[in-house]
Amino acid sequence: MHTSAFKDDHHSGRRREMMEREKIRLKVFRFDPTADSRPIFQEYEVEKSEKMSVLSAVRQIYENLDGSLSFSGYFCYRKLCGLCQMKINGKNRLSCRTRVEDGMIIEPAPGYALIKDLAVDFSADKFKKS
Amino acid sequence: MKENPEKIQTDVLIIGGGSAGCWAALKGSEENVNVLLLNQYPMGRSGTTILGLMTYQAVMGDLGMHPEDTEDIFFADVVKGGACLGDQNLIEVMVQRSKQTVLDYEKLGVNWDKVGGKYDSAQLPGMTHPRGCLVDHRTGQALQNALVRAIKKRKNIAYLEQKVIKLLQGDNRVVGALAWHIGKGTLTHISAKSVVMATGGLGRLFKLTSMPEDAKGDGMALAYRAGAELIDLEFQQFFPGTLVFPDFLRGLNAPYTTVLPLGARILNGRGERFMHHYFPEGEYQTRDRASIAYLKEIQKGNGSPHGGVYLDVSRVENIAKKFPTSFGIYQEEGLDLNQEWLEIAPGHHYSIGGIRRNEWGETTIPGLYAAGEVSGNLHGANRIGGNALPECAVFGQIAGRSAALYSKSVKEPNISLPEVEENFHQMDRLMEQGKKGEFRPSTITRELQDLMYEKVGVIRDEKGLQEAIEGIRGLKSKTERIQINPGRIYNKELIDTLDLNNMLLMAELITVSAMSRKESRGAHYRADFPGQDDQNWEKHTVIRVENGKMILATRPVIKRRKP
Repeated sequence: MHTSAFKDDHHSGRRREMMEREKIRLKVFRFDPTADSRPIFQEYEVEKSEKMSVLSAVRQIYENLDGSLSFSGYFCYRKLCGLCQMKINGKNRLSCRTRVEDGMIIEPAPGYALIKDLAVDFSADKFKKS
Repeated sequence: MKENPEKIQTDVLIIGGGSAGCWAALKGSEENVNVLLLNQYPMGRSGTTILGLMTYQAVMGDLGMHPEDTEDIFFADVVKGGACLGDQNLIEVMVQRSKQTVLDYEKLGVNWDKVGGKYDSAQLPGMTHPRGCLVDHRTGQALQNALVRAIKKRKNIAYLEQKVIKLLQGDNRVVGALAWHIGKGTLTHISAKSVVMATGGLGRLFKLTSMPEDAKGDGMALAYRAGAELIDLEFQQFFPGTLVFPDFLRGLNAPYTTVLPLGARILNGRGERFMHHYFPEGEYQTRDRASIAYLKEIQKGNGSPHGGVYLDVSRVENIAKKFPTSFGIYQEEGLDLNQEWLEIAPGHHYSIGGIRRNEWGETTIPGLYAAGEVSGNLHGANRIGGNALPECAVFGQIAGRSAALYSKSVKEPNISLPEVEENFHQMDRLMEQGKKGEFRPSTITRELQDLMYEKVGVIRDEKGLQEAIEGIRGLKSKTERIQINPGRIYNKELIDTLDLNNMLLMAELITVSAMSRKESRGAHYRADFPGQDDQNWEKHTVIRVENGKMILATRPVIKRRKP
């Protein structure tokens, strides 16, 4: 019979459960121009699940650990919008398609005006403002 | 807030920058009025239009490859696909105008796929003939880009990136809106003679959806609060081939109907084919029927590890090459489709119901127009594939023109400043209260999404819907003690709270509507009323608020001709 890497059995199920509980640490760029004199890197510990993206980890930080973290509010998850762009370990990446790893350094997308934390002004490059 | 609100004046305000809003702006501007287009996230890179990968239904006649297809056949397909619940005055308009919108897009620079100079077209379930025009498997994005280019050239269209939080009313009509600048944390008072609502759907009310992050039903909620009638909210379309795993591909649509005839299989968690237990003809089913069968199998305990069923495409030759955007993407991400099965489940795909409007785009309140997914009464009980994008273009154009003409007939609106200021104070009070709150907006949102998927999703019954109502009310009371981090700039908890208030309202309205319809039809399946009841229920449900009271009623379907 055809075998699947996703297909579950008793043992692989338990193995995955252990994998899913793996804790990783991430360093995230924080800066609020209305309150801070300079940026800091804040460290967070998140639970890594199988094939987890950097974007999911960032969302987990916001949802479970720190509601003050700012980042874009729109994502298409299909490589069409580009609004999940972040600088990950020094490289400009789509965070929805980058697998998260322990020790990653996450910064706002380069080349855009910073608004706060990981939120940048993505609109300025393409559209006039009234 | 200490400083005075910024005030902007325009003739026509368009809320939403997807294809419906963009067409409304373009057509409105042709009437020589000032248009202000508002979108909460960067236009061209947000909304739902860009996600429409596939087809655009239009009868192209001699310009296409299927001259045997006619507008009458298209009309009959939409009526039948919607289980006779679509208003036929609207269907007629879409059927007659969709070809022209294909040509309009071409004038804006869109290169439709052609074979020997004729428009190529694909066939999806529900279409009698192949009539889905395409642009390189990225139709929606190509259309959106062309629209944004055109809008940038128009001198009388201004663009702002702000989130509308309230419609303003005066003189018995809609006279503008209040908007929040997410990045700056400031409010703007927009005075307008007419408003077009084009904000899209509400997929994010459900835990699994192919809809993007901004599809939270805000436009429907704003219109309802202003007194507009919403229609057929119980009809929420689910797409059965929505990916549940892996995490970074969650929510993507695997077009299962395209690959089933090529050797793909649907399997349960034990790797067995199961569809013939539900339907004798097997796996090739429309969205509504497949969704029910998958969920029943998952609820039996036969699901895959992440709560879905398997789509096995290992026997489909060259799948990544044949379907670059829908299946090639997995290969790009390092999944070997010859070895691994995809885990899929029904995910929310399209809000069929919405704001009730007529063939001129007029809603039930003067000065307010609606177009695109935010509106209802076009598709009926189920939308057939390839009709969302033409709907946005056809009715976006109409609503934009109607709103522009209306704006010429009314005077500059006069809204008293104290009322506007009161809203500004409300925003401050919300943030002040939030400092002492105890429940995170993201937690309540997740609870709502789980509840809606579980109780008001694909399979519904009286007991579940009653539990949903109680659950939604419980979550509403939690929002009174919601926690909002301080700070005005890009405050996500504040935005999530504003969104959540809209989502909770829409959740309640959908559930109440679903409870009232005691039959199964199209995308609305009641396990306790499994049959279609034409005698009692071939009619719309409508819902509105009057003096703070929710009023639920029914309306006859508008008929034009025999399908």
